[in-house]
Amino acid sequence: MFSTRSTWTRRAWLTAATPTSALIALLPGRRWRDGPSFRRHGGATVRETPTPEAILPADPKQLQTLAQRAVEAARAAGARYADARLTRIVVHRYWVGSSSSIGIGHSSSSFGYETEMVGLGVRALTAGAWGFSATPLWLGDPTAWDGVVKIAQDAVAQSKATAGASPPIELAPAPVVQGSWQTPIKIDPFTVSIEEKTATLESWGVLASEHKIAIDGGEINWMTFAREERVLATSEGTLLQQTFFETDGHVRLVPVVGLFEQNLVWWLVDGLTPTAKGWELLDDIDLPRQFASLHEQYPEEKRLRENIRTGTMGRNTIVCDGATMASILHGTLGVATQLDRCLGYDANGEGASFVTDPLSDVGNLHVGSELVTVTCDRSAPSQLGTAKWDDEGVVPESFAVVQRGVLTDFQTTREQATWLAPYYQRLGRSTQSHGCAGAESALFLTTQHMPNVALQAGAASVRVNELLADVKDGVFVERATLQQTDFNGRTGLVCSGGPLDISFRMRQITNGRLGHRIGGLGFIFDTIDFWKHVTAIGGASTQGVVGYSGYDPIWTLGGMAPLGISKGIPVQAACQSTQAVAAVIQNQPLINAQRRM
Amino acid sequence: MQSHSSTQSSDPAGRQLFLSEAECRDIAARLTRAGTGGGVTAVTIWSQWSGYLKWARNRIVASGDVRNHLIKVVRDIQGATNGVNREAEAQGGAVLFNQLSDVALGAAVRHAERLARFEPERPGATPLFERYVPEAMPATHLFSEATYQLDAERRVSAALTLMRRSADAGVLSAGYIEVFANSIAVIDSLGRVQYVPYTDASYSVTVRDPHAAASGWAGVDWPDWNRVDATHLTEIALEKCLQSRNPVRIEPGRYTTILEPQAVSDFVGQLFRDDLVRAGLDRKCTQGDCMGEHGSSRNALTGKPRDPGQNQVGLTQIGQLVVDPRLSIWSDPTDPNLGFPPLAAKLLGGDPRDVQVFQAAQWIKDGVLTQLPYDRGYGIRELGHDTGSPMQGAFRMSGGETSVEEMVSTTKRGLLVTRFYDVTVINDMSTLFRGYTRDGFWLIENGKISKAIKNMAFTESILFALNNVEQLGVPQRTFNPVMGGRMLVSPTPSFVPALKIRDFSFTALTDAV
Repeated sequence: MFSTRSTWTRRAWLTAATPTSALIALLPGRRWRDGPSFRRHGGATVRETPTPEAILPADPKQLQTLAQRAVEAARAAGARYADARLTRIVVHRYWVGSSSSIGIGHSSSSFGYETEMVGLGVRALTAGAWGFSATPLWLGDPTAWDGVVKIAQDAVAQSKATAGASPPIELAPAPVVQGSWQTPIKIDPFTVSIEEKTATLESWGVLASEHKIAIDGGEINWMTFAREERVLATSEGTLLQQTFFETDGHVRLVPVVGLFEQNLVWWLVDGLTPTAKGWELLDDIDLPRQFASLHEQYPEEKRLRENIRTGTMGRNTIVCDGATMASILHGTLGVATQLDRCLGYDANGEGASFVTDPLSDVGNLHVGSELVTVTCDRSAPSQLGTAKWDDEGVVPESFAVVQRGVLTDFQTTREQATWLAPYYQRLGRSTQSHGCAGAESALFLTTQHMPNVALQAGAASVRVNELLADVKDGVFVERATLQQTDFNGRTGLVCSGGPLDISFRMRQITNGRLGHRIGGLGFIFDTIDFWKHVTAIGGASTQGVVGYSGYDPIWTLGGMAPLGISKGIPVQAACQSTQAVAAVIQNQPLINAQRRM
Repeated sequence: MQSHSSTQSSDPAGRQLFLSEAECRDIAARLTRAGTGGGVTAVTIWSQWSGYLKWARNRIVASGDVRNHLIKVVRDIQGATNGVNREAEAQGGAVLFNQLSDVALGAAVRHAERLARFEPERPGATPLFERYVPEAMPATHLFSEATYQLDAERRVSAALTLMRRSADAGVLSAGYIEVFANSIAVIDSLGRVQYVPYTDASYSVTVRDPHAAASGWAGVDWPDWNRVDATHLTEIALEKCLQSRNPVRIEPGRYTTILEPQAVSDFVGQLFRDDLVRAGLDRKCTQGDCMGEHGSSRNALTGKPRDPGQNQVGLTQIGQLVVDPRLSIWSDPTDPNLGFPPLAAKLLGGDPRDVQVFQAAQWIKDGVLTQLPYDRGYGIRELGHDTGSPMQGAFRMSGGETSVEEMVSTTKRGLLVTRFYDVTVINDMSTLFRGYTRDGFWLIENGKISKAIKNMAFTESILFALNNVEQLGVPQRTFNPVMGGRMLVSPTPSFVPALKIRDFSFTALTDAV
């Protein structure tokens, strides 16, 4: 499945953009202390450092045996159910144009850092609640084979300590499965050498300069490549190995302007939202096209940026593009349809849900208009929540949490599915998990995490322009993010402009046409009111996807919680993508978000 | 509290629950031995054990026991250190991993050396390690055996009592006990050895009405579990829940508002807490004063907006009265009521001078701004000395004698806030923040709590609020643990009073409970 590193010589975006010799040849010579160099386009032979390897390679069979040994030890110690997970997460980050920029148009690149974190986590059930024990263990550690046994015994002891304190935990049945799977990618980024990576990233600055664009030296620009190996063994006989890949980045661009010309315009490179792809993402984003198109748009962009006006406060019609709707969907219905939150299991942490009585509300509660259907799945290509099995070995199915505006189901794990048994029995459905079990790594207890969530497209192939056409007076919101929600996913705030967001993501709509940009305005909404006022939605062409990475070291090590994907106590995050189509929402309150009362 | 001794209890794998100083020295020595080509090997090791118990709906959900560590290795080969010489840019190559076998340590060193070779040459750069004398750490006593010995049985036994209280009252409790034992070690092959062990114990509980119509919360964290009065906190959360039933809507607007200590910590703490700053990940924050910044080099205390690189010293408000003269704010890692680890290392970069040592500091005295935190890059560029004045995030605030009850009884019409959720910067220039009230919010009329009210969003400036203080309460410890094994950040305790503030601005309603 993986191509080898020879793909360097056939990078479409380079050849398509410029006479190739060109581009790489333009790269300023870098002086390396120890002389390693990278292969120049055109095939000059040079010395390369070895391909980055994992700190310790691992034999898949041995890993699985190690996980099974933990499960067996837990059973021997008295667990009625146990599972063991082994994870290794490798993250490499590169800075793009962040060090010593030399002159306009050129940006250098450098290696940022690499992290490799392993873990073993054993979860056990006895007469008590979940017992969990975890530690960094991996093959190659001489203590690993004894260590897993001791961790398993500790997990059982943890569970036994709670015996008698609470009713026993039940799990919905799930078939025993065995196999392996990995994110379908084209080029494994970890087979691409550091030299090639930095040369590629450096060449972006050169390419940009041909379109009078520069990588903004005042920003932190980066590309990140991540891989997670995950092994699961359960006492029921399930034995799985999955490998996940993720690529994402943040690269800010500015136009190259005259020495005395003030510039207010900037852009982010499109398509770098966290995505379950490999190195090929860099081809897929088609930078030559993006740079050429930004160059063309610059005069109009400049005019819009220089003519930002304040908006009118009060209730009005809002049209949101797919990306904005995805962000809102994630932080509202995505959060509120997590069954454990609805029941108060996370009340002492991130919060609860506005769905307060799940068994009565399901099938009855109207949370949106007829046009609103929200599905969950873990199979969408290139999305971060995509997996063949969840962390309980359940094959995730596609299911609707909201159908035609009515709450119809919840995100569940095997334990949580049993809480809905009366509802499923009423419907004549079997009680089974929707496959939403996951964890940030093996060092965290398995819990319910948001799968990929999608706002379904309308039947007709309606485009954004057609949505706008019917709006006499309103506001268009593009690429905005939900900036704040409360602890129930019940209200939210989206802003345009201000110190937090100088991108001015709102535009006036007058008689169906887009007008000036709006600054300083935001809309604060009540979730149910917002979704009930969706009066038109776009077709598939208006779709936007937002990826939420659970691998970002700023989060995993530094503790900065990304909005909406933090879950549980101890708080943890997992990878997920949300997708939505554009929509028209009537009667939403526009406010000045910067104002005190 | 006892100081940490070498006799630690063992984990089921026969190891200590977190890495001792001897173990850290051993790891560093093994890494140094694995190096090739001479030079300096610099190692930072974070290590952690956490034991937790979580319950919800009056039943235990999980009991957990997690160990982890994180090792950062930097190889400086003849001054070509990965990550060194990037003054004011907190980045550069670092290798971070968590395996301890010889094979793993050797592989990590090879990676670090590869990165060192990969660094572009910097002609004229002076090797940094040789001429650097580490700053001495203040002596702290942050290790509690009571915390370290709180095993699963003891946690369960505490929880059962607490859960029963809520069950008897016909409400649902969701609670969490977590104990940590951590260490941080900074060791290099030139002889630097700094090692700090510390513990933290936290308890928090949310008591909810079975119909999710009311919610009350209480919590605290201390290094020493013996100082956590879980029974008392449970009573507070229960009382808050029972008093929060049938909340009514009131109009957003400006109200005289009593912030309980936790709300003060959640709000005012934003001036002193920025995880990006602490983790050293935000390059821009290293370019200027960081007090209260959110990714930009300007702030109401540090001065007017400016171009990066412009001298800012003359624009700060140091020496000026910035808040109510009854308020003083300071931090001291040796303070028994505040205590926090005096050492922090950045995730990235290999410069030995970027290791932060926290000394006692007075930030605001009698309302006058006396000192601002800044990092080394700022020191070099703007002040001409090669040291920083970092802030850990922990802070103490002076208070008064007024109890919350007295504040209520002297309020004709106002609000009482238990705590805030998701306090987010809106405008760092004016220290304007936005967040939600949560878990106990009441209307006060004619000196009495008259009604529970629905939660609201506020939009308020910290400095504006601290200039509108009417009454000050007795300072107390609040809840600020690091949850979830985020080893790079240490607890940022606060010891603050309740405050009664005029004209606090509430901007929107929510039905969230």
